[in-house]
Amino acid sequence: MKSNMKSRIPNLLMDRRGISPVISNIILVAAVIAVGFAVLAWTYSTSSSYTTQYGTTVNSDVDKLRERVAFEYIFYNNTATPKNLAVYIMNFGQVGKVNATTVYISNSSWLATFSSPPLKFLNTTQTSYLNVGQEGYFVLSSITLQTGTSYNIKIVTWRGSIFASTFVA
Amino acid sequence: MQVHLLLRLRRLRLTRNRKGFSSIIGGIFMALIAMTLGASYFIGTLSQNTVYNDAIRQNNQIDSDRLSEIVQVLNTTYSVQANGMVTVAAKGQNAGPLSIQFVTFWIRVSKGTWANYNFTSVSNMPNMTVQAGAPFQLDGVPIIVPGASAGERYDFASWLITARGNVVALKKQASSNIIVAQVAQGIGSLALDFSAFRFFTYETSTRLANYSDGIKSFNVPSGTNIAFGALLTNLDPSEQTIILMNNSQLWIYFPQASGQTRLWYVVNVDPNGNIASSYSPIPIEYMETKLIVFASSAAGSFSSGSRVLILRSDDTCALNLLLLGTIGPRDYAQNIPFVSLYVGP
Repeated sequence: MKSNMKSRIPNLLMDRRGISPVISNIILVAAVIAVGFAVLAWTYSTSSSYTTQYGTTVNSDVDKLRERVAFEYIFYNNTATPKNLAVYIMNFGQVGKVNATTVYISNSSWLATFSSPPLKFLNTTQTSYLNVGQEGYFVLSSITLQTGTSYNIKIVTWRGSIFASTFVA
Repeated sequence: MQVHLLLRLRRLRLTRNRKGFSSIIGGIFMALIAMTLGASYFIGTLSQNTVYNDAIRQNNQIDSDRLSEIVQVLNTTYSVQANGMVTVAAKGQNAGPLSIQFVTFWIRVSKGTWANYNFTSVSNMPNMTVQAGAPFQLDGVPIIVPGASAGERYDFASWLITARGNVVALKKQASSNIIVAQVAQGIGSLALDFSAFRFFTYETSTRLANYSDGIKSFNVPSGTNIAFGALLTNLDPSEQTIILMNNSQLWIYFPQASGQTRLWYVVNVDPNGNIASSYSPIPIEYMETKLIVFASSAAGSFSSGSRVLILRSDDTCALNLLLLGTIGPRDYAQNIPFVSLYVGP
């Protein structure tokens, strides 16, 4: 077997006619390998990007699912100047950074919208959001409601969750 | 054997066929790419779906827990003291299957067009995490409501917030079979629990025996120092606190023996039955029931010498509670009759 191989190698080296097919084969194989790795890397990167993107979307949806806001008290102060509505809320969900980006006050024939009312903790310290278990409030000023009438309040958070309640002014 | 040779022959042909080698490598890469893409999409999607489903399951559990919270709070009493300080007392029970943590207590006080409110954190107060089925008590929670003043009549509303975001309203006591309006307007604001009337003998010269149970009977001994206990409930319609002053007394008289009377003045008694030597006014909040003890022959003080005994025996006497004090900012006086006593031999 060994003698057979020894006799073949010099023959192969001496055989000039066989060089160009070998080189072309090597080049072809190398090109295929290179292109293969490139496409594989691109595929891997694309799929990773997809997984990350999908994960981000799912996490965002999960966070939105986990948001919970309770209305502790809604007080319409019709003796203040200007009249205002204080809305006390609590984040009792499983995710922090809850705020109110849009607040809707309405009844059957009327609607008022407020954008990003300044949020405060119960101790009146200003805050941007409420974390899990924290309580806070915002005041909607310059609002005129009919005392003794029932109204709906709807809070939309930056994650897009909607929390609603009713109150009597 | 032939099959084996055939396979070997094919393999030799394949390895010697250089033209097909790159195709095989390309095919392997194609397969790898397909597998990478498929596996990562499949595994990624599956894991994210698992995360999402898990979140939904947890959320459902949280919502279910929240809906399972059942709390009943009754016997709520409010009293407004000076400087807008409102004191709230209530008794409740966790009637649900889960333990409950109360975090914030809210109160709204209103009168006509005026209204104000306040809140206080109760999460650090003792017994504010209530096990399933357990009772709990708000024992005079003080809360400042600016603008509320003592002696005025207000409408109160209060509620507790639980850590799960539920709002629990505190309800006033159901009046059961007591017609409050009749009791308060026809007789007076203090009601006597007839069935709980009792008397005490003395263990020492200044300590009552078997306090606070005493002896629930309308037959009392003659020739022995005794004291009396009456359960009084404040049913004032204006929901104000009644304060009993030192000249409140229990008075008995014998119809068959003209001029034969005895009286016992109100005293302060500690939980062990020891009677205080001097008297401090006793407040009775709205809807509160208190055991009031009458023991001294002298108004405002007590000593062994001021104990009272009944000398007359084998006779029936009438008993009256003569109650004096204040209700809110005004004076208060009420006479509660109805009890008869038989003094034994």
